[in-house]
Amino acid sequence: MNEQFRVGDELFRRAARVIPRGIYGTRGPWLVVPGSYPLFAERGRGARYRDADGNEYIDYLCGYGASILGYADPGVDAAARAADQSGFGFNHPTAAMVELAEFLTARIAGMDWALFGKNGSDATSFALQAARAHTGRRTVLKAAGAYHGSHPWATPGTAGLTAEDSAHVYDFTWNDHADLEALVTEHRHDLAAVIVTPYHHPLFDDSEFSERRFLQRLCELAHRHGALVISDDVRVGFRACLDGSHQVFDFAPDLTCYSKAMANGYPIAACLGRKPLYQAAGAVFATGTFWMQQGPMAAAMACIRRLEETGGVALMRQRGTELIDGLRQVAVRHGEQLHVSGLPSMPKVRFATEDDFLRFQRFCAAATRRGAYFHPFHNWFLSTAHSDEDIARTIDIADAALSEVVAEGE
Amino acid sequence: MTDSQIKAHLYLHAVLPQLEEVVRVDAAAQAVVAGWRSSIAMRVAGGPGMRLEVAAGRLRAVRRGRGLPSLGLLLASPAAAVRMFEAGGATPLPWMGGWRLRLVGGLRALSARLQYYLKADRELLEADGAFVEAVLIRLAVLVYAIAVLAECSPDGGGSSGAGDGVISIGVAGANPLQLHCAGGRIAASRDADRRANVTVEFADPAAAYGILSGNGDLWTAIGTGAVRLRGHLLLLDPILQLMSRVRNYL
Ligand SMILES: Cc1ncc(COP(=O)(O)O)c(C=O)c1O
Repeated sequence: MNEQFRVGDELFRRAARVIPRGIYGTRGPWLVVPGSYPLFAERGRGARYRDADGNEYIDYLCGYGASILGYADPGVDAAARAADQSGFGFNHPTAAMVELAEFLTARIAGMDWALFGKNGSDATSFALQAARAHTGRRTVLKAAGAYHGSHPWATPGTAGLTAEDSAHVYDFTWNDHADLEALVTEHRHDLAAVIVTPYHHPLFDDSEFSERRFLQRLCELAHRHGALVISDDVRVGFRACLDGSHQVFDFAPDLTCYSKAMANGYPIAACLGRKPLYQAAGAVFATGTFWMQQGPMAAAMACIRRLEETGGVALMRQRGTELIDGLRQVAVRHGEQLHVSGLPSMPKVRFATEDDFLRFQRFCAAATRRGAYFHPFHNWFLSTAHSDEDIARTIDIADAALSEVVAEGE
Repeated sequence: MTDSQIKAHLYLHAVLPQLEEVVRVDAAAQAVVAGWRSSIAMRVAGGPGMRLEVAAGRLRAVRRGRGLPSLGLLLASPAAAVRMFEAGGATPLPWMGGWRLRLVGGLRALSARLQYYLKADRELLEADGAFVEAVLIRLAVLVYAIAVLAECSPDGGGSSGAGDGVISIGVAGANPLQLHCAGGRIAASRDADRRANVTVEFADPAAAYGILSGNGDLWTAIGTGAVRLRGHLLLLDPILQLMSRVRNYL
């Protein structure tokens, strides 16, 4: 294997003996290009981190979107530490939970209550249950290819599941109103909710915004049939808008879900909802030993405040645009064309001329080996910590990486 | 389909075709077919059929052949076919050419050579210098079996959802096999003649042997570089699911 990753590879071999798959889930090596990517991290600050071998990366995955202010943000870390210093894991929540719920309901458009968990999947599953509890119905519609978490009703996996786990969950095609309408009509008597992301950002495929008022019409349609709309804002949340991405994408969900970036990497998720759903939400059995810890709650408030003070959303958009512009120029110089979709702060990038990623994977691998972490299949993320110099350095790296790919040929 | 029917398809359409390779690489098998210009048809009542065409020292396995075979064998049922392949416990009825004892005996000898490549343990194979060939033949069984299982599944084994494309599966340094996925159907091919959209490549025969023998884990092998994955992984999804189902049958 590559000497550059000797320590990480050795760790992986140890891991494989005692941990199924060595690293399970989406952080596993299968989703990148083993031999060209680090598998274990050691430390990070700002937009950069070091792997277990000490190689440094300008990071464009940002912990799958969690790092929005950059790693080890002093303000967020101080807030979390201060909260935790008085102990944690009590029999009760602390005041931080009330403060965060007040803070978020004042912030996120249209939402009147909030409830917390740890991961995005906690929030989406809770939202689903709240919708079913409120409507007394079972069916949930989701866009084909959309990811709403790892819980049995939503997971793209197959092992250990029964058909019943995802019974009552049906897929429609994003941006295809007729398809959605047909499904809604078919299930109208049992339709509890339609769950959507603020825009479509599937793994592998291009990102797609709502077209021809797709999301607005989706809300009208669902509501007309007594069903609810859940906005799964776990990935886009706080990168498009601090008041809920539905503000930017102009639709009116009844429930919204957050996690990932909301506390700059501290473990917390939130489901927020409209007032009429308050009782149903309360009726759902929702609990977890660690769900009410105050540290991540304090971190969430510090993180969102910091994003607001620094104009974080605009900053990420600007840096993302600079990155994409720079990469496009590099590509053109090498006779290549980039296809970029989604928000500039979380762009989905591929080569325009191929749809099987074979060359793009080599490009991402070559860039990563040189210190710019590009994921070959997942959308990338920017943080507010990405500086002009980071972007400039990244473009140089991309230039060298693309030279390598072009030189290698097919 | 019942389990026996699925197994009968797997034995006839995924295992038996590997005689092509056995005859190509194995001196004893070559000696058996030397001078043959014959075809052997094997049919399972209520199940699949397969025909072995031998000429000029080469054997070709085809699902449908033209004309009467030199030797025609019938297995009474899928269960009988399974018994024959698994324990040699059922004898096929010759409906054509049963008097051609050289073919009957030759087929038995070829089956024994195939069994050797499929079942012999590593030490023996290495001592015989046949390890690499055996690994490639076992890998071919797996690849063919994936296509057969998809064919036997009502929904094409989920292959329709993943889209069309070419998947190449092989061992570094050797010709890979390909699975061609199109319109919800999967076909296995020994000629890697199309541009692959995904490649799964074992770093060496030992790596492939580990996975094929069930001792190694594919996912950790990917992490250690013993298996190289490239291309559009989404296309692999149904293939990997079918692959894990093959273990239930073979
Ligand atoms: C849109 C969306 N929803 C839900 C989830 C699940 O979040 P988690 O992995 O924290 O459970 C994710 C994670 O990637 C996501 O992107």
